[in-house]
Amino acid sequence: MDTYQQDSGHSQDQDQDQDPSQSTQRIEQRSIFAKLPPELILEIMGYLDILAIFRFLDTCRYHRYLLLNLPEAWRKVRFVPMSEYANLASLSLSSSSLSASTTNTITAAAAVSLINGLATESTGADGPSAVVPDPTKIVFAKKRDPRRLRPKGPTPSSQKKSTGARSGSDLESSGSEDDKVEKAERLKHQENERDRDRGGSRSLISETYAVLRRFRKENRLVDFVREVYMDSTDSPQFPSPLVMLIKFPNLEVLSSRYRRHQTSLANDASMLKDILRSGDIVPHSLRLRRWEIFHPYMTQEDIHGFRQVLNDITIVGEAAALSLLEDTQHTQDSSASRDSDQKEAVSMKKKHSQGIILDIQPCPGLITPSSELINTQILVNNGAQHNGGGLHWAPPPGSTPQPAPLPTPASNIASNPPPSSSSPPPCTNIVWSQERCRFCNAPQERCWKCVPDCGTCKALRSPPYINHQTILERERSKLLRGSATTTTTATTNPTGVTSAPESATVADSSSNTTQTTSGNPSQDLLAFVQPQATYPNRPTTPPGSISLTQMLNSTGQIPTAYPAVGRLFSSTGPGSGSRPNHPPPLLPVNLVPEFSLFD
Amino acid sequence: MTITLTSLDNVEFKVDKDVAERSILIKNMIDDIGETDAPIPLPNVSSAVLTKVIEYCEHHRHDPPQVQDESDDPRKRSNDIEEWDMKFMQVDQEMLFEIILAANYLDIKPLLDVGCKTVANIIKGKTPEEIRKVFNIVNDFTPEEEAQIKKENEWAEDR
Repeated sequence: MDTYQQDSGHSQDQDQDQDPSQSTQRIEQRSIFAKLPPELILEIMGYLDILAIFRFLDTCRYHRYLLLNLPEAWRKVRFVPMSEYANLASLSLSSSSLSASTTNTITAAAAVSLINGLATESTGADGPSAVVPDPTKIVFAKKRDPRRLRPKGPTPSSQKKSTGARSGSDLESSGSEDDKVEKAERLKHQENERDRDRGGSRSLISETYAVLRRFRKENRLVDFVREVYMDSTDSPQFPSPLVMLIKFPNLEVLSSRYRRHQTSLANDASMLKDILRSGDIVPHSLRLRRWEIFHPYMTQEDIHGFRQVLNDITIVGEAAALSLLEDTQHTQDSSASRDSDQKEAVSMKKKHSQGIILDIQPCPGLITPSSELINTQILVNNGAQHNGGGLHWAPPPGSTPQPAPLPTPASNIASNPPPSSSSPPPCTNIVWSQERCRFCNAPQERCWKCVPDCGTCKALRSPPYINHQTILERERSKLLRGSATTTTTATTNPTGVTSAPESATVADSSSNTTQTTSGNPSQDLLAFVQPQATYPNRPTTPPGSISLTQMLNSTGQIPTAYPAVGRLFSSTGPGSGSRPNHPPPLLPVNLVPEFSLFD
Repeated sequence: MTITLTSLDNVEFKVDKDVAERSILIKNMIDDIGETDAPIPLPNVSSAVLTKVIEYCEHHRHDPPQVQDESDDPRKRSNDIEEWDMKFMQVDQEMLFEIILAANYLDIKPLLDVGCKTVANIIKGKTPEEIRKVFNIVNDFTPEEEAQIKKENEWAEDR
């Protein structure tokens, strides 16, 4: 194995000030990663979340040197989704239990403390952390490992306390104090172990905050971060996206999707306003360009107000305001700005300085031109008001889709006159800007209620959550089919639609591109739950949603979003690949299915 | 058409053109020099590693060319590995890293991805101690530094 040797970052003057015997200090470490060039290290780190990167950082000096000299490794910070962590925790638990015979029992507290980093990160080999131990030191450290992992006695802090207590008192009391400390340690250990068994949310939160603490001005790590991805971290204990916004001054992209219970644009907007008012943020000072905040249940959110406050705090918001101002001046000075060139320049400028980019937009409403105008007008005037839930079954085909009428707040009624009885009530659903048809990948600009069929393939659309889940299911089947293609070759029909091989577990040769609606909502539900033909341009897993590995439960099976029909298509369960003669009972139309994967 | 590849240790491998062209490096070489019987030297790849690389290319010879995702969105980077690839990558660490290096040199993106994913999956979910154990890394932090690590990660309630 290669031995990596690296001169420390000490300047000669520094070295001369110190012990002369240490002037040729180097990092000597046997790491297989020394074989790889930095671009491949970055490639590997690209697949890891920030917690795993910090764990890797804490393994040895060389890895610290390696990562802290790669600013690109810190550019994108991805927090692991809560569901994924549960799987990882169980994996880690099993692996640590395997190695328990050699390392004795590792306390979760010790493991967690080892996981995270030093109080002061040095950039590269600067500072005392670059001091290289001689081989004897390495051997010494190696020998100390088990003891360091699980201190049998009290911790250093508790030792101090106990020595203080012992100084003028009898041995019995000190012994009982030691017992107490040991008992407390044991209890803490048990608690941590229990937490780890439950999915490790405590450890995760602890680790997440520890990781955030390690991004500091002093070590410059905080300046390297440009993008933060914290999708599917829907826990009240998890740091808010606003924390990221304040923490990382150079943050340009923030993604906090699939945080259903923790997302409230109104709250976030009001908090940002408060921060702005108190002067903690200078107006137009943040570099944020894009914030992805969508979750499939997003309704009744004030996008307009949220966007407004974000534009007030970001640099792009200032640019947008300036361009708007210039635009107004240009229109006033109409005689001078009639030329087409100037017009084009203005439109280009507007395009480039549209302010903060959000991944959500209010649904423009029904396609009929008159209502579209009315809806757009109302939405522009009043901001997005929502009365439609994101989760309703599609209306029977043939009937005119109507948004579900929900009570409007009294204040809104007072301030905004209700639309005339002749015009349909405005749609207030929120549409994800990247919403796509799960069959043909066509972009969808309106909500599934306003436009129940895909304009391109005419397939029946489904609520966002189910749409995403279906795509995930298809990704899963694609993966399984991928392994099956080693023995069976997929066939392509003249329409260019690749049908899955018969041996594939979820493939159905009778599936069609265009979905025919039966008139029965239950059958329609079954129809879109059933796997469809595969398309060359099939959409990938929705960004930010859970991956297939996250879907795996402890038994190695992938839970389905459709419990009632799950066993039909469970490729890992018994009887996979064959459809039973009698379909199982479907979900009642008015019953909200049990969705657990995103929450 | 058959292409002859010569490894670092002068072992010759005869492979089909479409298999060899899974490597962008070899594909470009063939495009540049035209069809020839002369062996293509691969001085950075040993015969053992080249055997594995050819095995991978033969298995994936019919795969469609990988579309480069320009967005480089970390959320789209799934760590899922196909079953065959996972079995293929069940080699010792030396070989795994050699395969990654060879894939990088030969410019075989899917193989490079699988290799990097495999290494990432090994690291993922492990504590630093477990990572050290897996990669045979010596913990060379001083006890003072370790104490700092511990201090940094204390819960408020633990203090």
